[in-house]
Amino acid sequence: MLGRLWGRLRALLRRGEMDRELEEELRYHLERQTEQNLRDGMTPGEARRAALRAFGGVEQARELCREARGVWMIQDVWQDLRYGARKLRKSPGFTLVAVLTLALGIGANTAIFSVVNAVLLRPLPFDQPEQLVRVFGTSARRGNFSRPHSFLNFSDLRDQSRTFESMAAYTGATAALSGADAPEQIPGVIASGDIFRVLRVRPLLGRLLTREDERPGGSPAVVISHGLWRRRYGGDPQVVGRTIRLDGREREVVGVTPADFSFEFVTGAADFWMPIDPTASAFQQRGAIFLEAIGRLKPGVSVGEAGADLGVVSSRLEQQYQDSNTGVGVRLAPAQEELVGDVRPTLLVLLGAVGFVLLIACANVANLLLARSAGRHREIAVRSALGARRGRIVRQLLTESVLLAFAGGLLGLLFAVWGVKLLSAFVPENVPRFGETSMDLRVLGFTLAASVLTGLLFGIAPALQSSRFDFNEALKEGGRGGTEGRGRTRVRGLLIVTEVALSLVLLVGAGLLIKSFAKLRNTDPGFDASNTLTASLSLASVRYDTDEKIADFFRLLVERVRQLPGVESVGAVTPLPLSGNNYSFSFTVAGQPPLPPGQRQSASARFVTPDYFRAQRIPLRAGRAFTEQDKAGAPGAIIVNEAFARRYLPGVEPLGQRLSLGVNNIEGEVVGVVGDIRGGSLATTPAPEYYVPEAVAAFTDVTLVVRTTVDPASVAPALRQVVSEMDKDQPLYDVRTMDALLARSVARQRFSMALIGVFAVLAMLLSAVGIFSVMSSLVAQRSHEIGIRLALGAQPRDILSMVVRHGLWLTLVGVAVGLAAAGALTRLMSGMLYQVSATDPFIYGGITALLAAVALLACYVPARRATKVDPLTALRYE
Amino acid sequence: MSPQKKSDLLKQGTLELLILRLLRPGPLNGWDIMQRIQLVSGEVLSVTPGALYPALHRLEERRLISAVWGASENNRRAKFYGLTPAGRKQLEAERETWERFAGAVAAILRDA
Repeated sequence: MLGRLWGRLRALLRRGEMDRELEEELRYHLERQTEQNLRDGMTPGEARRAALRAFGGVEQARELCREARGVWMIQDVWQDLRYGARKLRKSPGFTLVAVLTLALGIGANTAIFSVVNAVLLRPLPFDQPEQLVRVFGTSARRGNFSRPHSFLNFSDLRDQSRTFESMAAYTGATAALSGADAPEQIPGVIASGDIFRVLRVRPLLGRLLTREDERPGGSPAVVISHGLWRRRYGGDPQVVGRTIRLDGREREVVGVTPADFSFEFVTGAADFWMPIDPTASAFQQRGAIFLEAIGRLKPGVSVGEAGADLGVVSSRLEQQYQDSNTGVGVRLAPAQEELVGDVRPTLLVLLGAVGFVLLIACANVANLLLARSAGRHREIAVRSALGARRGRIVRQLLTESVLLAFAGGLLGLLFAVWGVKLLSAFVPENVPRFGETSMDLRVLGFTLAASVLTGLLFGIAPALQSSRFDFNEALKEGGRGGTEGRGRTRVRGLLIVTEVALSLVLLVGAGLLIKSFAKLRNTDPGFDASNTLTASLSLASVRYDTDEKIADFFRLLVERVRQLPGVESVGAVTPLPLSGNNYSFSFTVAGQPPLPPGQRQSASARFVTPDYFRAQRIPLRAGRAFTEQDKAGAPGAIIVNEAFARRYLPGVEPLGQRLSLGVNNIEGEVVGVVGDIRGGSLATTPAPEYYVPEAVAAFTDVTLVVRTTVDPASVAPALRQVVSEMDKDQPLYDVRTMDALLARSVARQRFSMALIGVFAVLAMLLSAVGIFSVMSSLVAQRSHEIGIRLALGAQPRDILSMVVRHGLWLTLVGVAVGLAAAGALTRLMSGMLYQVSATDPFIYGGITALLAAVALLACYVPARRATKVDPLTALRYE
Repeated sequence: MSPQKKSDLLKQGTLELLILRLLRPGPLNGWDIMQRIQLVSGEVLSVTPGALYPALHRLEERRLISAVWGASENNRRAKFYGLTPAGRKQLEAERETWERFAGAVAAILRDA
């Protein structure tokens, strides 16, 4: 085997010699034949000619001998490559257009694929990531939707499971970091002790949290991120052991996480890691559900087995704690799937869309090749006369296309690098793992494969077309280049149909997304987002340790902010609509029969200051708003929204109903009804909500809502000033306008709409160019015929309509195919649509008209040129 | 029938088997092989150089025959092909198959 390989290599190296030997061998044969013919009495000339004739094609025999040997394959490929490169160099215009078109297509595909690769394909950057699973709670009463755990439930699951190597609970948090620099609100994670054991992360410095940190009273240990360490502590290697102040409490830095560690299961980058305090009151109630859980399976355990295992534990808990756990179960999901699951459909639709663009680019290049092959007829005829068989010619033409595609792919890689940079400027912040996007081997492999496939795809039809021809025809046509064969015209027509169909699908997709985005943006959120600035702050519970202190601080703050110039009204709310936070608490209505366990009602709660409704312009429908008198100690007042009244107080006058809430034992009377808002997202219908005075609940985390008469962003510095005057260690964070928040809440929809829109426009332009070039060359080839028609009395109008009709006919066939395909394919993206049907007739009709208009334009220009044909010039060529 | 047409009767495999058989006594060059096919088969089978030489190169590529340059009868340089041990084995195997096949066909034709 090895010897054979060596033989081949040697043969390859001494191929000149082998060529000479083959030459000599065949010459020897011819000479013997000639000698024999001479002996038979022929003249020398005759004898030589007869010998050649008897041989039956010396060139063909030579080719066949070459092909008989494997090494010639390699040599042929090399030869084809050099020949192809030379050919391409000779027509730089064609090459440039083709390479650019392909680079655009392959580049866009590589860019999108590199995102898909980073987000969906690459395993999570943890040790044996396939063992990581997310553990969710479920509640039968809420349609088994996922929900967090209470600490007690989590700790029972952790202790009683037999299929997990380790399990940890965590929740995102923010904390005020104060010290020498300006106070700063930093994001972080509060987690049970095993979190780093589950993730198998090793510290960069010091140690990470362990189970020992999960101790009664809370451990003062804190782990900080690499980013915070560099930014705030200048990468000080002595940082371990240092004391820092978080939310006014002293904490000891015990370690730093490595640079490449990121934990995307909470929103925002985590800069600190604090252990939970299992004895804190929130951790002692089974009804307080706020912890997410992640676990590492024991080796060889499947997700299904682990699910069954935890299912047994949770049904045991259901028996044991009927009050809190009736209907509560668990759901397991592979961690990666869970993290990226909801962006998967969008990314796949994008990948499909960009694939269509590449297909259209292919069709255009195939078109160019076909146009060019008309001029190469003679070259091919000559080559085949010189002994090249059809397969050999096809191979040569395909080599040329693949070469072209490689050039396109190489340039496309550059485009892709640039494209990913561009994408990262626009990508919504909540796309997980996008930051990991990079050009790795898989992306390069994808580009390579895409290039080869592209080359074969756009090359095969023209290659087969050009190599199939009648010898005599081709040579007879001589230097005049010949007319288009029927076959070629048919292929080019087919290309137009394909391009139009593909563009139509993309345009319809883009149209649907644009329409649903417009609908989304026009959806009334139930509040007025214009001229509103929001800013959050969290009071450190160390210093603000009584309800009075908290209430006083916020009352004073609101009062002072209202005095600022340009401020119209000020309110505070927890949680802010569209912020992504949602607090849901149970409640009971006085006088209604008690509900069985597991069916208790709950609704979203917001804690607000009196002027909040005015600041957000949420309309009051009945009763009154809160006043300064609605504070702790006063008769409890509660406001509900209309959805709440409809759902939970049907058929009764809401005002005057008494509710008792499952939070801080608040009881009260409904004093007002306000309009509904879309607090979760613009796309979800308003949920039942109730409002409680902030002064009663005394929450330490609130968001200020400041309605201004001037540009809201311009008030921010004054706002910071007020807070800092009241407490110099108190940071203000998430300062942004409500408009920005609204925009952020639809950022993903905007992103996919914009990208698909760009792809669709690109597709349409490429198709228009395709139609234009096909019609132009058809007109050029038919100029002789058109000249005759004109000479015989046809009007320019007739010629115009003849050409336009031809182009429009092809377009309409494409539209028909495209409409059918769009009807089938857009169903895949129905999850991305909002209040728009995937078969919206307006979009389909509008896009059809648009495409027809573009096609008309692309046909019109060449058609006009056709009418300008001078019959005399056209006929003189005869 | 022109020589070109007649050569179609010789399918690729058959031609290769014939070549192997002709080389069994000793090395020959391409011209000689062609003459012998015509001589031995009594002009029934004819082969063109355009088919013969590729077949020779195929066999050489498969290491069933090997080539050396030597002096021909009229003292000119010519390429001589000879059987390799693998070629000899291949010839025996194929000849058996062929004879069984031919015998079977002959038997059927006789009986019919």
